[in-house]
Amino acid sequence: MALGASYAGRLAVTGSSGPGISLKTEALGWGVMAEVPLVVVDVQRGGPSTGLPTNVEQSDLNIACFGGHGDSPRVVLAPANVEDCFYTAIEAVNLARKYSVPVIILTDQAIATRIEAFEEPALSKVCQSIEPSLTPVASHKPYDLAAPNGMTTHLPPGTRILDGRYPVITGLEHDEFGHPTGSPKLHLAMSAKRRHKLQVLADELPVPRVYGPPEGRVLLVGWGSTQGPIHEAVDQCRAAGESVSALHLKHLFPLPNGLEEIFDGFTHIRVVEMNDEGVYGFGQLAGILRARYCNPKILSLNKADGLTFKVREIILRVRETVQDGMNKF
Amino acid sequence: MSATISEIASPASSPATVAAPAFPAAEPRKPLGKREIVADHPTWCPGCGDFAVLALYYKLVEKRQLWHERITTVSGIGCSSRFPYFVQAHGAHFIHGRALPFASGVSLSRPDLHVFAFMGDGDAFSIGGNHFTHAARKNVNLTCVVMDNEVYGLTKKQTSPTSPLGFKSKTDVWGSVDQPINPLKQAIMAGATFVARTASTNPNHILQMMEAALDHEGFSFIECLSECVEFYPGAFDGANPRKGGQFREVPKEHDVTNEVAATNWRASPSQVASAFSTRSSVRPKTPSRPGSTPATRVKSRGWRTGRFSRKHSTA
Repeated sequence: MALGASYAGRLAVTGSSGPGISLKTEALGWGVMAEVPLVVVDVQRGGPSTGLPTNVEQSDLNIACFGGHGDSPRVVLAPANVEDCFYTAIEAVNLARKYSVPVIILTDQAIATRIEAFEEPALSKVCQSIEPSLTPVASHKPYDLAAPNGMTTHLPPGTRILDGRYPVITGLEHDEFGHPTGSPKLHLAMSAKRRHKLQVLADELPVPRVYGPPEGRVLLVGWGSTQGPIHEAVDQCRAAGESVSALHLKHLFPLPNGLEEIFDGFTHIRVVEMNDEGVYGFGQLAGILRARYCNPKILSLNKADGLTFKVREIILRVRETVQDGMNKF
Repeated sequence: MSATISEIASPASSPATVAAPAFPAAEPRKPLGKREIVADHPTWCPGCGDFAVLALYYKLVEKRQLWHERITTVSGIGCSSRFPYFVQAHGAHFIHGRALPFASGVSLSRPDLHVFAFMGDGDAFSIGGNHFTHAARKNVNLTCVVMDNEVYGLTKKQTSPTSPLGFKSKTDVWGSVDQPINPLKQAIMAGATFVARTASTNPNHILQMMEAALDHEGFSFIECLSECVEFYPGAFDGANPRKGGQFREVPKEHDVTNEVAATNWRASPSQVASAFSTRSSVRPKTPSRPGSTPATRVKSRGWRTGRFSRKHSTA
């Protein structure tokens, strides 16, 4: 229904938790294939299946980034606190519309049930009218391969097209007019189009700032609701004279450029996340970062008991695992 | 202070409805003809009942001058759901069974459009069964046309939710043992406000039903018995006078606003559940030994080379 509304020109935002996301993954794939903008809010809870319905976990990262059959690149964002949720939602809507792609906002139970005060946003500045425009056009190709960077937008139904050729928005592999094709050439071209959009996005994403000095012994990498305890752990360690910094990622898929340089500045990297260490010993973000950067320094610091991180836990476990000391020599 | 029930129900206190976007001023145009409506050539098998639905849809668009920007054609997955590619209008080809929620999304956010959702019996009553019920219950303003051929034709003959008892298919080689669902009964029970059945062999009736559905405010459901000549030929001969059947219509004196009457009439065994015409009389009424009923005596026509060759327009 959300995709229908989005297709009709009014971008829809829908929300669910892990099981709902699993159920609707097929439709999400349709959104990627048909290049329909959509914002999906995933409030993560303990899984799999019905799992821990009222407890917290950050274990939907893989399904958010890779869920669904076929190659279906989409955008994944993770707000770090309540204020960030507000601005992330706006960013998600803008990205979805600009790149014509589903955007997933990964929050979790820890943020969803949290109350935080933040400065009142300047609503007159952030609010924007996104009414569909029904101005007639001369002709329209919904999947124009000649569009700059593969970025096309759909015309909402109700728009008159003067040459009389109307688009079909489809989940079948299609030609530029949206009509089905089995052509290997077009499948390659259209897959590249869908992929290329996100590569362009990655280039445009801001490089995240390191919390603490940009070089040192230990870097704690986090995402989503763990920002608070991680930053406090950094503060406490630094007060104790240890060389610890933190990097909080908001754009999880695609990842922003420039993380390699940040990782190079540290001897140890620990990805702090609330999920299981997995079969190979790495949490979900750690797995993605290792696959992306091939950096053996990247190790995991997981917690999957359905509770949020305590500052003490992070500090103790970093001290335990970093054998050669955390002081910078 | 709590609101009274009448206050809650009154339109004034209901949540704000979505307004239609402003249309640019229209200049005079040539009347809409068939040439402007036709898109790709259908990929259906020759003789398929779906051709009738498509032809009558063109006719409807032409007769009522439904300009391209006033309608949207949505479909799910299946033979029938190739429909949007054959119609020159804004369209969407969604995933299996979910055409109705998609169409609901379009309809709710854009009240200026008339949304047509075309689907097959698998789409509407199997994987999309719950969507069908809820779209009917919510009375979403759209027209849902189900081309029911009582078989999964695109995947070459498997039992569908409307296949009759004893129907032999690739998934029921000894004949179907499950009671088929009755779409009209389901629609009426779910609270659909417009329910019709028609048959692809009676074009005048299809057009009549489509026009009535178009004029209906709310959820309108048309079940079109649409024969699959390849995998279930003769399924609806009982509703085709040329094949010795009978096309029975709802008696003129039937009060369409009387739900009780519709229910009672539907339950009458002499007139097999139907609101406007009748379902095929070859359907067995009671479970019997699989393979012994007339409905299962389907002549296999065998595979015809080239019938399913892909003929997609890439232009």
